[in-house]
This record gives sequence, structure tokens and C-alpha cells, in this order.
Amino acid sequence: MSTLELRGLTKRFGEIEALNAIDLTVDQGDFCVLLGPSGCGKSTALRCIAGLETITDGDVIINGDRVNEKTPKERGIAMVFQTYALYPHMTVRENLAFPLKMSKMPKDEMEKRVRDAASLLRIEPMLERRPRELSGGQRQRVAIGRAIVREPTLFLFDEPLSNLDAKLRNDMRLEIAALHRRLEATVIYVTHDQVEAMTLGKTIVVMNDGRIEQVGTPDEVYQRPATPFVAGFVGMPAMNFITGEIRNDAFEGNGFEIPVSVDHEGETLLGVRPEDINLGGDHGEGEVEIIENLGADRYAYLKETDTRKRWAVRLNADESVDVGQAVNLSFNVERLHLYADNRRLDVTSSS
Amino acid sequence: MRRVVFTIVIVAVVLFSIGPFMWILNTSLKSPQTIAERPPTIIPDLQTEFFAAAVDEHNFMRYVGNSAIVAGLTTLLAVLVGTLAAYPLARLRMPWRRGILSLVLAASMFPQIAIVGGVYRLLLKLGLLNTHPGLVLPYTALTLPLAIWILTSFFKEIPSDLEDSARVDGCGPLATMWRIFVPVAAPAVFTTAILVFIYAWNEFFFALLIMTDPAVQTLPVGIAKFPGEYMVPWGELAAAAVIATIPLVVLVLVLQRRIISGLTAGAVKG
Ligand SMILES: Nc1ncnc2c1ncn2[C@@H]1O[C@H](COP(=O)(O)OP(=O)(O)OP(=O)(O)O)[C@@H](O)[C@H]1O
Ligand SMILES: [Mg+2]
Repeated sequence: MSTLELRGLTKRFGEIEALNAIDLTVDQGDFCVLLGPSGCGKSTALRCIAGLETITDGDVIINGDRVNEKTPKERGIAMVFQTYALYPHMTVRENLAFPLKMSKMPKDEMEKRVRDAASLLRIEPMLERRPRELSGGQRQRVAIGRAIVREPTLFLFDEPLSNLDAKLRNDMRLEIAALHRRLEATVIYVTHDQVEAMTLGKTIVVMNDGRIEQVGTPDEVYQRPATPFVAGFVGMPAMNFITGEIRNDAFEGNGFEIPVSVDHEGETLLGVRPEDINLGGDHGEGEVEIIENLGADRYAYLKETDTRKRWAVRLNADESVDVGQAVNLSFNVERLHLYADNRRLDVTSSS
Repeated sequence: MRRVVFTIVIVAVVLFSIGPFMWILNTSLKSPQTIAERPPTIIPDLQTEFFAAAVDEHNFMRYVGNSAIVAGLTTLLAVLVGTLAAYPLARLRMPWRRGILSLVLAASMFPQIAIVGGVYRLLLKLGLLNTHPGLVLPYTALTLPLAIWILTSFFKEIPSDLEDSARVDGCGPLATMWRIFVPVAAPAVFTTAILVFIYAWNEFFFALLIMTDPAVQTLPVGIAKFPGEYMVPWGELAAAAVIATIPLVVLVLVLQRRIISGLTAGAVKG
């Protein structure tokens, strides 16, 4: 059975349509990441699921129950906020116990759960401290602990790591992954960080402008982006695009022709990832403007002299170029992405 | 070296602000004999005669009572109304929020002298001259803009995630208010309350014009009436000033921990 189902979920704030008829099914035990640019409606979706926002249209179904009219408490969810939202006037212990106290749980059961959560998250020595006496990572742990103690059917995370520095973010990411495995919980996790999405998610939901662009595994989203938006949003540096036309089983554009076999004629967008471009060839040319060395990878950014079109190219270990050098490019033709009418074209075979 | 300079500066500032009060305190504790000595003695002879005189001869406790009533009610009213106004101003997305806040601030910029005529006639028509509400109402009106401004900016600092989190944790609107918002916002409310109270306790101009009946006059006016036609009773004046100051000092000392303890420290990133 699915733990969460959204049917035609729509949310309007006056004139602004924050969510536009969202359909989504999340299975028991899934780690579902909502990924999208700022303002695309990720938080709004989460808040509608939590019951913090009334919904304009559609249904939210948790464990088979339609919960549209239910309070957050009755939905059996727990939420971790971007700002942690720890209660500053309570100790860590009181923070952890608060949701249990509100549900009138017997004292000994309450203490047991607080102890368990604290040991799971390694915050036992801090139980008597106040939130202000904790570091960022510790606060984050307490916030997660407060969600765990309730043993909810559904965990909601809204950008929980975005306030941490890079190193801590990495550590916490691994911890959250481990925690998910251990608790076998169902998680909806909002982020605009693709590294988080790719590493944590079992399912990634890419959102844009209040709509879902694609639902898929990290591999599917990266290898077979369903729309030009997903293709451009997922991947760093972003995919390169060329507009052209498909005629007589060949893509024409930018002064070259690549044979493709697709069920489409006419205007087409071709996308190619930086790692699928090699030096030498006749699919493009340009002058090297910047070289970025990331340690494991090096990227060259090129500008075509006459069209001013820009390219991002990943350099192979044996390739070396200098700034100002003019180079030719060729594509890995098995790994091209073709789009027409905002839709991915299935390449049946290519030569 | 920097420590030494720092210490000297601190001591100088403290002496400068507290000096006059120490002098008054000194005077109030002298006896009628030592007060007129030239040069004045630094160490008072610790007599309470002036205090007794202020209380007995000048009906002093009545003024204290009136001031307590007026300042207390003003504080209660201004903080209550201010909180109710500040909460939505801090939380709701309203198109004219900045405009409303600016208007509120502008309202507080009129000098008292500019509005006193209107206020007086209004109170006259309402029959509120020489009554406690006759002072409480204008005081509340005068302090509300300040109260609303302080409270709004404090409340805005309190992340609304806290309230959302409380709802997820099972609180209804009332429980969210009492268990989360009120304790977190308490320092802001206390700070505002103190400022309003000090204003109402010290206010002289309106009090002088509106309260002509000695039975309802407040402390500042009462003390101002101490000097007789032929002599100024310095000792009694000093004693009265000391008594008038003590409640404020006690108030601030009692509440200062709550004011200073960081508003939402630790609730958010920090
Ligand atoms: N309470 C509200 N009133 C009016 N508009 C709102 C409200 N909350 C959100 N919006 C609007 O809805 C849209 C989606 O907002 P949302 O917060 O869901 O974005 P997001 O994807 O979480 O972005 P971010 O990554 O910046 O957090 C935005 O255009 C935002 O301005
Ligand atoms: Mg958001």
C-alpha cells in the first residue's frame, strides 16, 4: 500500500498558483526527494501534506485515508524544519518529549522513547542543555530526534541541511541515509541541492513552477531526463543545448549533422552533457575561456567565436588545453538527449 | 592598557549617570540640621526624618498610589493592545504592512504640546478630567506606537516555524499561544512593558493639565507641588524623588534577566 498519495493537489495564494494539480504516489519505506529551484512550490507541497496549509483543490491521502480536513497531529506525520524550530525555552529533553506530552503518553513510555532517540542520535550528554548551548549539527540532531520519538508514518524534511556548513552537511547527509535504513521509515525530503537529492533519494521528484516535471530514480533522472527543464536542472555543470531540426533521420544544427532515428520531424532541442563531449571533431568549436579544476574532474568553458554560444566540457585525464586555445568538439552520439514540444524523444537506434 | 582605559571610561559613564541620583539619595538621608551645612557633608547622618515628613505632611503615599494605578493600567492596556496589533503585523502577508507601520510611527511623532488642546477638550466632553482613565487613555495612545513597533520587530524575529512545529507536535491554536509563543515572546513583552511603565510613571505635562484635583494627582505633579511660597523643602523633595525612583529600579532589576536572556537564542541557526 502506498503511504502517501497526492491527487490533483492544487494550492493558490490569491493570484499565485504555488501548486498546479500535483499527482504523486509514495510507497512505504521510500525516500522521496522533492527537488526544484527556489520558489517552485516544494515547501508548499510539504506544508500541504503536513496540514499546515489548507489546500485549494485535490486530495491528500495518507495510509489510505483522505486527510484533507485533518489537523497535522491527526495525520501521523513529523516534520523537520529548515530553521530546526527547536523550542528555545525548553531543554533538549523537554524538546524531545514535547510531542509525546501533547499526545498524553504515559511517563515511563515517554522517557523510554526520549532515551532511545537520544542514544540513536548521540545527543544523550546534551539532554539537559538548552538549544542555544548546542552547535548547528547538534541542533539538527535534536530536531530529527523530536521527529523520531513520535514514530510517525511519514517523515517530512524541509531543507534540513541548508543551514549547515559544507563538511557538516556531508556528515549529516550520511547520517540521515543511515537513519532511514535503520528506521525503515517513509521520508519526503525537500531540497534544492542536487547532490543531496542524488545521494539520498530512492525516488526523485523534479518540480518546476508548481508542477512535477519528472518522477524517477536518481539514475533515470540523470540518464534520461524527461523534459528540457530536468535536463538543464540536474547535473553540474549544466547540460549543453543546441536548437536545430530533425529531417530525414538526422539532426541538423550548429553547422553539423548527426544521424538519429526518432519518430519525429521538425524543430528539436539537442542536449549533451559535459562528460559526453570530446576534444576534436566537427560538432562544435570554440575558444577556451575558463578552466575549472575540481580535483577529481576538470571542466573547460568555451565560447564559439562567431555564434558566441558557450560550451561546458569535461576534460578527460589525458586531455589538456590552455585558456585562449581554439578547440574542436565532438559528441558521444550514443548519449544525446533530444526534446521536442517539451517532451523527450526516444532514440530507437543511432549509427 | 586597553583594559585600563576601558575601565576608566565605564566608571566615568556610570558615575555620570548615577551621580545625580546618589546626591539625591545622600540629601534625603540627612537630617534638617546637616542639610544646610556649608560645605555639604559627603557622608549623610542616615536620618529618615525627611521620608517621614514627605509621607506625613505632603500626602505622598496618595501620589504613589495614583501613579501606580495610572502607570499600571497604561502598561496593561498598551501591552495588550500592542501585542494584538503586533502579532498580525509580524505574521500576516499584508500588502500595506510597511505603510501601516510607518503611519503608526508617524502618529507618535507629534509633540505633546501639539495635541494637548484636542485631548483636553475630548476628555472634558467625556467627563474624564480628574479621573484615572483620563490619564490612562492618552498615555496608552501615546505609548502604543512605540509598543507596536518594538513588539512587531521582536515578533518578526521569532520564526513562524516554531508555531508550525508546535502544530505538528499536536498543539491547537491556544496551546501554541500559551506553551510556545508566550514564553518565547516574554522578554519582548517585558521590555515593552518596562518602557511603557517608565513613560507613564514619569510623565508630567499631561498629568499637570488633566489632573487638577490633588486627590487624583500623580507623583511627578505631586512632587512638583512640594515647594511652598517662601521655601523649598529640599530634604522632603529628595526623599520623595528617592521613593519615586525605587519602584523603577526594582522593576528593572527584577525583570532584567528576562529582558537580556537572548530572545530566541538557539531556536534557529544562531
Ligand atoms: N503564505 C504565502 N502567501 C503567498 N504566497 C506564498 C506563500 N507561501 C509561498 N508562497 C509563494 O508560493 C510559491 C512557492 O513557494 P514555496 O515556498 O513552496 O517555494 P520553495 O520551492 O519551497 O522555494 P525555496 O527553495 O526558496 O524554499 C512562491 O512563489 C511563493 O512566493
Ligand atoms: Mg522552501
